[in-house]
Amino acid sequence: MKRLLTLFCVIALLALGGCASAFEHGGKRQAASIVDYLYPDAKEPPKMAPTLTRLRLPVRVGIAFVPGGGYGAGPQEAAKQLLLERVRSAFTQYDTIGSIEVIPSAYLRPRGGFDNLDQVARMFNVDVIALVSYDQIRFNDTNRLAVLYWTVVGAYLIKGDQYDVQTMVDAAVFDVRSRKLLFRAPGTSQVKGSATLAGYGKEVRGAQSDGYVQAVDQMIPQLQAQLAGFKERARSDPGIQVERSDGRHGAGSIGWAAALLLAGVAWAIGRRHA
Amino acid sequence: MLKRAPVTIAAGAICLLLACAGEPAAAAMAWERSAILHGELWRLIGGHVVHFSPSHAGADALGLIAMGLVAEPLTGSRRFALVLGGGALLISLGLLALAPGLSEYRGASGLAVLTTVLGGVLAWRRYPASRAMLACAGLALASKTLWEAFSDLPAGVTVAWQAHLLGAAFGLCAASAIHSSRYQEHHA
Repeated sequence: MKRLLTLFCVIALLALGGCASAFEHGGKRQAASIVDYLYPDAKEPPKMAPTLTRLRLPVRVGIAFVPGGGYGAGPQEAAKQLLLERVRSAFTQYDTIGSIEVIPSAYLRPRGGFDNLDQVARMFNVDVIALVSYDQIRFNDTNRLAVLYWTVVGAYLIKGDQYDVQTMVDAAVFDVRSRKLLFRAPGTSQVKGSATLAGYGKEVRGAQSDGYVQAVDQMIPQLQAQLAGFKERARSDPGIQVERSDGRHGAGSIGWAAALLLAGVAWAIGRRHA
Repeated sequence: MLKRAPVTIAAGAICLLLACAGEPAAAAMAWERSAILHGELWRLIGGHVVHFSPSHAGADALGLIAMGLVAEPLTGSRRFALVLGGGALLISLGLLALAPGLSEYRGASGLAVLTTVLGGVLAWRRYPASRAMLACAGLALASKTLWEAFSDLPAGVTVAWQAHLLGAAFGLCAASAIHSSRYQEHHA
């Protein structure tokens, strides 16, 4: 009987150890890099020609998440749309921005480069695109209470797992025609917490979503500040031309009727006084 | 005709050639307020020789050449070239100062009106027999805005009457300056 009890305890410990090791400990990263997207095969630094950036106000803006690498990289599509909607609603009051189009990730090809950006800009009829890249790292650890997981009930009641989710998002605003970076703004967040073994997955997914939301919320005021700074810079930067598209286009036209009349007058004078 | 008015023919030919060169050339030379204020000063002159459409260029070139053939022989080619160049510059600067809502301007009609007033005033003095015809033409031109509704301009483009007014004013000044200098030469 004693041997049987010992064997049961060993099997139970091994089984619980197996459960615990089924969860990832250490860390996990989700990232989408703007450099990988725009310069996929760059082995040398891109050559920048000194081109003039022309912005016609009000500017039509597109906003999109940089496509990540593979399925499950980054937030889900619905979450991405909600995050981009938050950014859009923060910029609707600007008279210099005509429209903001939220571009679904499906329209951007991973490692698509500026060619893909041009296609998307034409498809959505936008002049400027804000590309949001992200980098989220999740660290997982167990605390001393995790030892109580072996009681089985403890796996449901004791918060023996800890997580630390660090998120960085970065919006880079590009003029599509000149391919020039106009301005950029980052946002960061850190979400920490603990969870039971049974509820760990759900808690961590929530923490990751919160991380993106908090980082985007921090990014928005920085983006607004950068936009204000860009407006000031555009006034003095000879490489940037800003004009209102509702400004009048004037033609110096005398019209065919007047031109024919003048031709007749000239012909008559020439004939009389030749 | 080329011997009689070489500057006029050259100016008209440049307008027509640039109309054939297409939109990139026209966009690079058009009078654009923000571009000029950023230092692209060639647009002060370039805007007067590029147009919005070939039809627009054709009408302006015809008007310019027609009255240039009257005005240039009466002023002399060198003086006429100076008047045209100076007129283009002053009209452009005038548009910058007097038409703040204007973002872009293209067309030789400012120069055509300048040439018309210059040629008309000089011909009025030189050829008294043609005064009735010149008066009729002047009246017709004054009411030409009625015809502007039929001009072949793209949507969103309106006739910049300020350029015509500035051209007429400069043409009048040039005509009186030329007339007074000739008067002085005659009585010297």
